[in-house]
Amino acid sequence: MSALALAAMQTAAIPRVGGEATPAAMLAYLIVIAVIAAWATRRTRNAADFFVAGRALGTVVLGVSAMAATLSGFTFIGGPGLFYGLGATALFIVLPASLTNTLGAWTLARPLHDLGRTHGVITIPGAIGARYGSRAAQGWAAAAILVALIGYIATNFLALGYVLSAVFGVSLSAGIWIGAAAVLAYTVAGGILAGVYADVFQGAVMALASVAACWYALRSGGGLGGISRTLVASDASLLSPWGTGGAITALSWFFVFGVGSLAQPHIAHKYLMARDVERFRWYPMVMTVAMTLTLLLYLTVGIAVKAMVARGAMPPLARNDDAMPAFLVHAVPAALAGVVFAGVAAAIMSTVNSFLSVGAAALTHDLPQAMGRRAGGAGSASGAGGETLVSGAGHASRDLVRGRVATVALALAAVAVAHAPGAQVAFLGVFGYGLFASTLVPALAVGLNWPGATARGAVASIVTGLVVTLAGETASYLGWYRLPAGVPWSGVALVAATLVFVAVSGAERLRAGGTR
Amino acid sequence: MPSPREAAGADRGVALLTAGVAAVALAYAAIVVRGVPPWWAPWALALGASVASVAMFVLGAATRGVLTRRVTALLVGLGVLLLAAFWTALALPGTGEPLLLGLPRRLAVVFYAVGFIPLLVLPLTFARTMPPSATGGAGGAGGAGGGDASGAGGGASRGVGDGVGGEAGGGVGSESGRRSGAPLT
Repeated sequence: MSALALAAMQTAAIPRVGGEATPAAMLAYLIVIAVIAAWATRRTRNAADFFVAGRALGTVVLGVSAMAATLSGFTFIGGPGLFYGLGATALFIVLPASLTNTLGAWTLARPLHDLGRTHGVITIPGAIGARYGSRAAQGWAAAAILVALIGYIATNFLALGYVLSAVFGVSLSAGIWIGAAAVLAYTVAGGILAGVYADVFQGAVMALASVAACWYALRSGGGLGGISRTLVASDASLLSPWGTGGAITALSWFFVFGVGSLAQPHIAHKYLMARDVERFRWYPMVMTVAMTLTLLLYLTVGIAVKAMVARGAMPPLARNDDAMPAFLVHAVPAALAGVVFAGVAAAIMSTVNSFLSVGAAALTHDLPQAMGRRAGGAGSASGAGGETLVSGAGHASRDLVRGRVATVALALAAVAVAHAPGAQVAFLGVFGYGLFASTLVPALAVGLNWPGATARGAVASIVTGLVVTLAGETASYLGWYRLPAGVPWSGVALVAATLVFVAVSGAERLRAGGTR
Repeated sequence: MPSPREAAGADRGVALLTAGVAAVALAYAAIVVRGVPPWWAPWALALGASVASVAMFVLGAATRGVLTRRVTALLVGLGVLLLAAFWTALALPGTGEPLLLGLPRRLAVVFYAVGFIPLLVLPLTFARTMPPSATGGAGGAGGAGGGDASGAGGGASRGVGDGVGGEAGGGVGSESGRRSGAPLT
């Protein structure tokens, strides 16, 4: 499997750890989520509330919610496992966060917020459609998002199934259904409004779990210096600047996870929810602080466990992904294990909620609109902002029902996919991040900021991203052709789509007689 | 419409992005053709990834109308920092490395220069360069403003009329609409 795919998923069983404290912490976590859901459901009255949280979010909610949606369960389980196996190579998945926490707001926040206000846009494909005046661009963007996110949601349901199975001792299938039902309960009832406020709580749980785990990780190895000395003595390549994965893989990840971060629709979607543009001023700072705290676990646990194994304080692991559970068994109190598992569930659920909302909007809004049908929401009637969703269209309750039905349908499809053999689920999840990056970076992130971009360029780049990613990952999965030396298909697809976008747009401008 | 200066800034950003992506493409092509990475491929990848990242900042700064000399200097500095860190890590010998702030020297250079310094500088720069908003602090009014200014102002002049967004029927006359990077075709 492409290592990039690991960023999105957890597709192997997790050993049971933590004793009685873990189920208790998990239950407490789920009860708080239920309370938040009940509160948010009462406030969800129309499609604007359901899809863009009534365009009423403040800075802290935006920032913490974006962080919680960005980091999936991989941060807590797969990430430490990747560090354990590849050393510093794993760093390059999160290293771009030093740029991307600000870059998103820098390039997307204002244009998207303004499109939301002026054109009633409530979705990312809708923003692309409005930008280019092109139903085709909107439709292709929606199709790309749907293709990518079914597998992505399925892998997250599978991960949640493993977590619940490890905590409560239920079967994997029961874990998947319980997890999906929990996410659906608050997503269907309260939509993204419930999601973002749950995200704030979930983000706090994730940060708390991460800081505590980091403290124990550093303590177990005699501080960062002690861990480094141990690892350098046992296998220096782990802490070489590129890790054991090598420079090509590491730098490719920096490229894809850096530039590609601008195309994650569940994060960009948040920019449509701000109360006003002033809310963005300190958004990068809030997100940076929240993200830094939550990534401490990712950065330290994997290498701490590797050092413990090197010192003989822990037996070698059978699988890399056992790094976190082994750490919880050997190095932390049982109560903290419960908090960490709650953090894993929080990370997964916050990501899934955001994706379900994005997917439901694509189904009920973007695809019908791309096919020339009236869709609920954006800018029907007067062309104002979110308020038209209520008063202008007069279809508010029907749009809300459609949104809820689409959410359930997407979740059920993802649950069905999650029950497929693990390798197939992982294969479908492979598309996620890379497909978003290659199909949406040019049309969305570049296009919203470049007057020279054209609709044909946008469509061409989206199709290029789709074809290269799907063909390449399929060929790789089936063993027909693998790129050499750690070059990821997602990197190739992002490069191809960007160059096609610039070339087609540039050619059209030339044909039209120069710059506009 | 974006001002000529903003449009020129955006064109520069796209040119920079194209150059960065082309460097990555060159590295990938060489690796695929040869089957193994040539010695210069990691250097080209580091160059391309750094330039592409900075290019997106240039694009955003042009759209936000903040591509001033100071911001340009900061972005140039950011690009130099990223590139210097990656190239230093590629250039330094890997044997007998001393620890620097708890990490082997080459990894420390990458981790602290790429992962830490921008973390401190960029959010503050964003907050300080964000122009005061005409609609700021008037959240509820923001949406209404979009409606009652229908058909007037900068947004409409950008001509989204025929497509999806066309239903919206126009833009706003506010600063918010004028600064928007969208719809531009």
